[in-house]
Amino acid sequence: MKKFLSLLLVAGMLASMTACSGGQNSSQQSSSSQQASSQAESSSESAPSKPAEPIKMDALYEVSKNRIPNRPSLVDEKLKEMFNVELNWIDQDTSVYNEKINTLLASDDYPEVFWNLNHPASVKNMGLEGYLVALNPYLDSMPNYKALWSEADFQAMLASCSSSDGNLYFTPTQNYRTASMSWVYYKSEFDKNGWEVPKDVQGLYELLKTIKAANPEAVPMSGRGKWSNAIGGLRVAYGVTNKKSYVDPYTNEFVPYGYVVDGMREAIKWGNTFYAEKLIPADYMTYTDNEWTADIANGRDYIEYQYVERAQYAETNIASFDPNADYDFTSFNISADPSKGYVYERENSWFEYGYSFSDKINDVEGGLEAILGWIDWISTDEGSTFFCMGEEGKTYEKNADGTLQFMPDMYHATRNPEGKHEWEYGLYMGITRQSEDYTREVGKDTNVTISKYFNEDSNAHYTNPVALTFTTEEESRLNTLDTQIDDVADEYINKFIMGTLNPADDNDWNAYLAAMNNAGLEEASKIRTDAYNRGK
Amino acid sequence: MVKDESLSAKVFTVVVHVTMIVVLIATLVPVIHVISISFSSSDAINRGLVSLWPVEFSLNAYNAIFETGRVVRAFGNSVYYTVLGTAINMLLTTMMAYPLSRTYLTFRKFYNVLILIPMFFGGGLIPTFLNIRDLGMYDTVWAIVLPGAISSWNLIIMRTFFMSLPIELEESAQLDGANEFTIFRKIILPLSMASLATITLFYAVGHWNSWFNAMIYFKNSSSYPLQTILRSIVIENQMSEEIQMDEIANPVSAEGIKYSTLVISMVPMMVVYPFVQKYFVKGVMIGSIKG
Repeated sequence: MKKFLSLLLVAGMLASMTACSGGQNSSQQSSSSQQASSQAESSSESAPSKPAEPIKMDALYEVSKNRIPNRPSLVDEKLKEMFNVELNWIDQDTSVYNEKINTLLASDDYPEVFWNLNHPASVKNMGLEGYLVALNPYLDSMPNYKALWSEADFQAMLASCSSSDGNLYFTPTQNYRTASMSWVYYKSEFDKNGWEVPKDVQGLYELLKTIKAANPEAVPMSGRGKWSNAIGGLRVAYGVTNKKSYVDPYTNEFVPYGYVVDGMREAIKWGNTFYAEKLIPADYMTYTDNEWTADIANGRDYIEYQYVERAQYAETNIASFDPNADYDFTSFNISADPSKGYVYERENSWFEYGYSFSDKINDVEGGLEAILGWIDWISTDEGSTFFCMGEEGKTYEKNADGTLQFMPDMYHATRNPEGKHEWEYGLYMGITRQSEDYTREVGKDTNVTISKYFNEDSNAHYTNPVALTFTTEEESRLNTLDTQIDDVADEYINKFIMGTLNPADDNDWNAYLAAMNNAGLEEASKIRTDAYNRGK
Repeated sequence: MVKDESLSAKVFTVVVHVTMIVVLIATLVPVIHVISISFSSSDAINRGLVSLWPVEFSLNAYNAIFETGRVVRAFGNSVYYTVLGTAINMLLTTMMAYPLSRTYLTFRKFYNVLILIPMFFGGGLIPTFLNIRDLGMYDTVWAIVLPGAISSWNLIIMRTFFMSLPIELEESAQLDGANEFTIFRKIILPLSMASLATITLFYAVGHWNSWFNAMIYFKNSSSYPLQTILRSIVIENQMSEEIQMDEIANPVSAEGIKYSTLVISMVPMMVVYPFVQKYFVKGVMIGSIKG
C-alpha cells in the first residue's frame, strides 16, 4: 500500500514537472530587439501615417477609485481618428494590481499596451524579465516628447528610470512642478492673535508653546501618522532632504543615509521636546488620517509641514467648526540657521509612470509606431490640451482672456462639486504633460505657486534628487538591507522622540548607530555610494 | 438534574456571567460604533463626534453607495455565488461522505489518505490559475464554485457523522429492496439534518466571505462579489499621499462610505445566523463523537 502511494506521488510530481515549459521570453526579447532596431530606423525616416486597416490591440488600463471611463471615450475617438487604433480596454483595479499582474504574465494573457501603470519597480522588473519592449531605440522618433525636458534632465531621467540593464521600459511623465511642500498654517487664527510663522526652529518652538497656552485643547503641530510626518519639517529645516540618499545642499556632498547624520539628530531632539510638551500628537506613531482630519475639523491643528494643496483640504473640513477659517502656506521653509537660507525638497522633473508595451506588440503591424505617435502628439500643446481638458464646447470653454475653463456641468471643487469628471471622458489618465489650464482648474496651481516662490528665492537651497542605478545583484542585496535598516531606524527614532531614549545622550545615539551598523548600514552605504559615483 | 448550590459553584456562575458580559460588550461596541458612523453626517464623522449613537443623522453614505449600483450588483453576485456554490458543495460532499462512511468500500483507506493530502499541500496561485484557465473556467462563475467544491475538513466531519448512524437501518432498507442511492436519499439524509445544516452553514459563510478567488479569476469588476468590492472601497478611500481634488469637495465622508459598506455586508449573516444557531452549536461537536 505504501509503495503504491509512493509510486503515485512520484508519478504526480513527474507529470507536473513536464507540464508547460516557460522561459520563452529571453528568445522573444532578442528577436524583439532586432525588430525594434529595424522599426526604430524606419520610424525615424518618415512620420507615421494613418494606416488603412484599423490597428486592434488590447490595453490594460489601471483604475483607481473605480474611475472607469464611459466608452467609447473621447480618447478612443481621437485614437481612431488620428491613428486608426482601436483598443480593447482591460480595466484593472489598482487595489489588485500585484495579484493580477502576476497571473496575467504567467498565463500569457497580457495585453500589448499597458496604458498607465503606476508601479515603476514592477515595470522595471517586467522589463528585465523580458515581457516589455525596451524604448531606447524609439526615443528619437518622439521629438515632442523628448522636448518636455532639457537635455540634462532627459539624461537624468533616463538614468533614474532605466532598469539595471540600462533599458527604459516605460515613458515617464513630465512633472509640472519643482516643489509641493511648505508650512501650511491656520492663517485666520494667526492673524487674529498676531502670530507669525517664524523663520527658525527655535521660533517655531516658541510659537507652538504660545498656541498651546492659548488653546490647551490644541495639537499645535498635528500631522499624519508616523515619525516621518511628525518631524518631517524639522528634518528639512536641518537640510536633511531625504531619510536615505541625498546630496547635501550646503556642502554638495553625497549622503547615503540621512537617518544617521547630525542634522537628523538635531531634528529628532526637537521632536523629543515637542512630544514632551504635547506640541505634536501623543499617539503620532499610530495616528490615523481620521484623527488628523478631526484635529483640522475641530480647529486644533495650527501649523504643519505639508503638501500646499492641503490648505484647501483644511478649509473644507473646518468649515462647519469655523466658517471663516482661512488656511495658507508659507513662501519659505523654516530653517535651523536662517542666515544660511533654507532648504526645500526639490522634485524630479518627471514622474515615474507612463506607457509600457509588451513583447506582443511586435506582432501587431504598426501598433507600436501608432501608440508612440500618440505619445508624441499628447506631448504637444494641442495634444496636452485635448488630453487634459477635452474638447471645446463639450468639456471646456474658452474665457475672454484666452484661458480654458471646464464647462459648468463638469466637476470643479467650488463651482460644481457634483459635476462630471474628466476621467469619465477617458481624459487625463495617460498624460505625458499637464496643461496649465488643467492645473489651475483642479486646484493644483498652488504647487506651481510654491515652485515659483522657491525657484525665485535666492535664499532657497536645494539639490536634485539623486539618481542611483544599481546592478541586479546590488538591488537585490539593498532591498534586504534596507528592510532591516528601516526597521531599526523606525524603532530607535520613535524611542528618541517618545523619550524612552535620549537623543541628546551620546551613549544612546551611539547605540542607535551601532544597531544600524548591525543591520547592514555600512554595506548598504557602500552600495549607494558606489552607485552614485558611477552615475556622476 | 441535581443543582450544585455550593459557594464555589455560585462564584463560578458569577465569574462566567461577568466574563460573558465583558465579551459581549467588547464584541458589540465596535459593531454599534460602525453602525452609528454609517448613519452620521460627514461633518460629524470628520470631527470625530460619533461614538455609540449617530450624530446629525444622515443617509448620504448609503445613498452614495446605492447610487453607483456597484454594491447592489456585488450583493446580488454574492447571493448567487453563495447559493450556487453551497448547493454544489453539499451535493458533492454528501455524495462523497456517504460511501466513505461505509466500511465495506474497497480502497477506503486509500481514498481517505487522498482526501487528507490537499489539507496540507496545495499547488500555489499560479499553477491553480493555469489549471483553471486551461479547463476553460477563467472569467466564469465555475472558477469560483468548483475548485473548492469539496472541503476535506467538512467531508471528514460529514463522513464521521454518517458512520455514527446505525448500520441496521441500512440493512433493513436493503431487505425491503432499497438500493444504495435510495438508502442515501430516504434514510441517511433525513436523519442527518443537524449535520447537513451545520456543514451548509460552514460552506455558505465561506462563500459569503470569500473575495480572493473572484479577484483573480474575473476580468471584469461587475462580476465581483460583495467582499471584493468592499475591499476595493476600503482601499480606494484610504487618503492618498497628495490630495485628489475630489477628496476635498466630496460631500460624503470616505469613512462613512467605508462603514456603510461594512454594515451592508454584515446584515445578511446577522439576519440568517439566529435561525441556524442551534445547528451550529450542536454541529461543531458532531465530528468529534464517533459511534
